[in-house]
Amino acid sequence: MKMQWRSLSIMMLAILLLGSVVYTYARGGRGFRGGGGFAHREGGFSREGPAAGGGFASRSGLMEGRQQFGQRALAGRQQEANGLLSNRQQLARRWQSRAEQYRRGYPYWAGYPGWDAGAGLAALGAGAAIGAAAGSSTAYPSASGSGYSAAQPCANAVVAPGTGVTYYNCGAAWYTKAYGPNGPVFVAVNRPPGL
Amino acid sequence: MMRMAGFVSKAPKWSVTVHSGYDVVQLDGYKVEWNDVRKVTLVRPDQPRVEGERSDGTRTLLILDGKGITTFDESAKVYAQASHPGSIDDAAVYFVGDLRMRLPLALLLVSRFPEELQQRVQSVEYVEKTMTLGAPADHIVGRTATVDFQLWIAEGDKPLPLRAVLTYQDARGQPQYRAQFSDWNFDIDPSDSLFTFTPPEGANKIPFVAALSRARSLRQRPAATKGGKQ
Repeated sequence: MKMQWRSLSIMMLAILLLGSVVYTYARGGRGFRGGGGFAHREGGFSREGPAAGGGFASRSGLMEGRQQFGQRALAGRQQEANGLLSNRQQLARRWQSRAEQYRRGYPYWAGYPGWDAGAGLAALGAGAAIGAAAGSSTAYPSASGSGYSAAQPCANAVVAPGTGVTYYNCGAAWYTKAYGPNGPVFVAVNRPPGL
Repeated sequence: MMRMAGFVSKAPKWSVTVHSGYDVVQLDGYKVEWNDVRKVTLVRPDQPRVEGERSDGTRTLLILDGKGITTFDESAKVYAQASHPGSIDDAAVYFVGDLRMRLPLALLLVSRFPEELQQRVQSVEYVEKTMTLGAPADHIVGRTATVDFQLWIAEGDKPLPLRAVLTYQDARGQPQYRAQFSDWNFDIDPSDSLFTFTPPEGANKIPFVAALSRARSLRQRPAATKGGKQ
């Protein structure tokens, strides 16, 4: 009798575990298929991050550090953390100020510390001020657009007369292809002139 | 470290292969490592070429030729170009700092490499001498304001970087960038054609994302200043 109960319990536990895995997978979670395959993440994994640029400086690290120092530091180290936080804020401000100033100077790199703190698309979305670049006169990123997409947003491609630039009209939104830090992406733009 | 920086920055031409990887902490906490291999060829003062192959097979090319910048994605058959006359130093700062494009370990390319390190590095400590990289090397650890780094530098009359690990301490999940250098060659004689880009048939020219951002900021400027001081 005791053995029967044990067997029944083990069977119930196995059914519960299997059910949990199937349920998790069905919901798009981290479960795995019985066939040995792996779940593929919709939209893929991000290639963007502070380490992607391989720089000896990190701009996003500075931004995150502001919040994380407070949380991470133990009570006894609170004062030290605040000091570091303040230093890093000052450094960030100094960098921004110098980055704004350097463009007026020569040579080009002079007074631009932390220039290799690659911040990728996130910083570009924030409106990085840059010098002249090719191909910028045909479209503008939409201020209210949905940002960037690695995949083609829809199939409705439209070629702008005159410029020959291809746009994608997806409902009320417009996109065009542009070169970002990790290759081509589709950027939300305002409705192009003439379309 | 400063000997290494001086040696690399003063060499008039060189090539090296870099196997690198970097972590990206996903929103749900997974830490994913992305890898690539790059062949860097550099002729001072203004001609670097970087051929890359990502772990997903995407092949890329970056050419700076003293007049402008070209980056090409062979898989997607698209390229972007920007005019920017000047030295490697100028072009690298523009490409990475302003266009926000990827050029990992860009400091190694610029002639100001020693000065850049001097400005940034706050502390350095010697870890050990090691033989694990195929040649006797000094392992050092150092820190800038935002990045902790480790370098393995070859001993002897050619103090070349053999390996680098950068840790972004303040970023979520403390991601790292890792690079292993091989096939350093200072006896190269590349032709000018290596630094000339001819678009392959069917390749389309597209703008840099940063160029679109700039267009937006220029477009918004008049509205922003309306009513302000003249």
